[in-house]
Amino acid sequence: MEYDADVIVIGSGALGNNAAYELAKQGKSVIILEAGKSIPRWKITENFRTSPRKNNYNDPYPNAATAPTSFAKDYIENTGSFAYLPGMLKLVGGTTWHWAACAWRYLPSDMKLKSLYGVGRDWPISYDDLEPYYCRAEEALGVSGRSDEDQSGQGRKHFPPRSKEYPMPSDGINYMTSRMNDRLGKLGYRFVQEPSARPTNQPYDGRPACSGNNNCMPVCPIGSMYSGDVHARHSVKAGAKLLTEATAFKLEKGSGNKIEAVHYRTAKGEDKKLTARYFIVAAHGFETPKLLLMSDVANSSDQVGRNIMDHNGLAIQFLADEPLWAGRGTVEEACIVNMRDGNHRRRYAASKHNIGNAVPNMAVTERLIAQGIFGKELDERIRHDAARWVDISSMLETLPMPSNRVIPHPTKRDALGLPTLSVHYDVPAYTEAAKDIIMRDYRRIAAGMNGSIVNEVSEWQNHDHIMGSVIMGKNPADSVVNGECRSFDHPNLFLATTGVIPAAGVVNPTLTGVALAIRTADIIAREV
Amino acid sequence: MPEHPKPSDKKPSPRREFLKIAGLSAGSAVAAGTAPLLAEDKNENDRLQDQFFQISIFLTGHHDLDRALSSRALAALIAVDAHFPAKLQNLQQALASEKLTDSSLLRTSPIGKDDALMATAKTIVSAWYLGYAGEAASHAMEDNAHFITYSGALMYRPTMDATVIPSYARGAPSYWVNPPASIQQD
Repeated sequence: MEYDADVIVIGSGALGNNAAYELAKQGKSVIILEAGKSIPRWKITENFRTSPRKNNYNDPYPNAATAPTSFAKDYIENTGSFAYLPGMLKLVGGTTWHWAACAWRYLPSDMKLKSLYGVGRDWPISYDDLEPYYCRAEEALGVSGRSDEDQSGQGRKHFPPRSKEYPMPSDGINYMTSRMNDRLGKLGYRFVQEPSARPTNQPYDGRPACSGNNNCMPVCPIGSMYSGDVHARHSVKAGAKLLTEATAFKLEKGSGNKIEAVHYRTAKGEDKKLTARYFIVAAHGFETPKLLLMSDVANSSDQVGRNIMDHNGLAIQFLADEPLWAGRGTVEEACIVNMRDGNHRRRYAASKHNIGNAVPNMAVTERLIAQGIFGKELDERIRHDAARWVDISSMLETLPMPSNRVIPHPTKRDALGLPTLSVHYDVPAYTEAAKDIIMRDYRRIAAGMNGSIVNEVSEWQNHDHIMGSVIMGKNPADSVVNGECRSFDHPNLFLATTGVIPAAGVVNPTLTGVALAIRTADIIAREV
Repeated sequence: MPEHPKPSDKKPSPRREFLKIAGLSAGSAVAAGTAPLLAEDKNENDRLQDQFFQISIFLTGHHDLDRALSSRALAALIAVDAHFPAKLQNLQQALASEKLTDSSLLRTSPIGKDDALMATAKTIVSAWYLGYAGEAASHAMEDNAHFITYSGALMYRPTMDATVIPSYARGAPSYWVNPPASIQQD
């Protein structure tokens, strides 16, 4: 049989493009399908600057009726107690256009959650299995970080173990973090530098060093921060073919339980079909299970679209008693990680506090104007409060629950006539059990900075870290893919999405997703 | 201080009434090319523009506001709320009778106890400081928000020496290791 390609990758985000690049580099013929268009960075930056909705991270990006983002009207319907609404984009490069480049490794214990703490699920692979691929993912994304810190927050020497240094050392600790560490460190709070997918003090892979434009979300205007478009370009240069405005809507089964073809619809509504030896679905944590369910494939476990997780969030804002000047550097500089691991995970969720470093003028000014403060006093207070503004947001661990689910919407259709999404999500009791502990910890932190509290956010927040939706495991009866990210039902179907992650931890899962995608590419390259 | 309204300003013209019903300002009707502007309407539009500009200077305390930006802000505020010109008129009258010397005094004056007047004042100050009008949606694409300016938003002026307007850069990589030069005075 003649095939259109050795491998077809569905989705041109960071994960799909990294897999595509590895395969193309090894001489495999690769086609990448992308639902959206390609648009240049300068246009996105201009869209941001001329938008009235600066806090809407999807807003500067294309939102075509034929490739809607997650914020398009009625695209995601929520039926659970929590409105799970991640900021998903559809364009070449995917949603890492507006991540903040936090490039963490999971901990060995995250992958043995059930064995160590008796909750949730274990990963089918170990940290040691993934470690070499973490190194490659860090090289692909150009991660800068510190290898001398205990990123698990347990006060040990460097952890987790690494076989190679970060591709680049971290840049210096910003003034705000230094001051907070000086004061809160005495109370036992353990700060770590955010490992970050951006060059520091030197160019890397054609990207300039970060110069602190403080706009990682929604767009890095200078292309220092990694986004998936980097490996779209690398893939094409290595020989991959990239088709845009091509929305996959059906995977076709052939003989031997293999996937034989993908059907996609163009923006003009024309349907086309492509065949390949292997398929990688890398179409986002929600859209990947949607495509599998629409195609009636890979679901003998009945777990496709179930077990969805996020890092549900809480937050506090307060004014410290000294000027710290948030806003100098990137939007994410440091975290407090005391509760990232430990025996408490037997009873309640692990967590991590992010010290926000975005220029706070918008929030500061809105608050002062609402109090009727105008004129010279307003200008003085903006400076005073912006200098002292502390915004801490936390990411909490969640557990996979089959009732937390994404499905193709039973009735609603987009402009292409394809189903939109229906999501049901309730925050797990394990996560709820940590809420009071976090809110109390916030007050202790605020008191440690002699701060006056502005706002305590105890309503759960979205953090857009989609996991669990096509869960990985050892048992075909309760898992969608195995430890290779290969479908239990179709030997030539692989999934490259953070949706495979079976235990959420508390860190941004993108680096792990890229490491798994590179590993998947290596496995496929040996077989195809 | 904004000027006292002239007695003649209180007399409604048939055309202004029409524009009000149609939900349009004279300015937006002209911009859309839907109707030629009568001399009387031009005067009214100029008067509205002047009134808004003067009140903006008073409320913000900034005497160097840009006239073109003022027109953009006014158009945005009218696009969000067709009744804005009438609310502006009410605020002007109240300000004229209070004779305040500084907008910092507004919230402790009798105007500060009038929710409607304070809401109008806050709307105007927000437009200049935040650079947009309306309610901006963070997780949806449909709202009534209108863009006015970004780098011209007054909220960035008080901190320009210490932090960037996001997406713009200043200084070399890692400059953020040190505090701003002003730290001892902050």
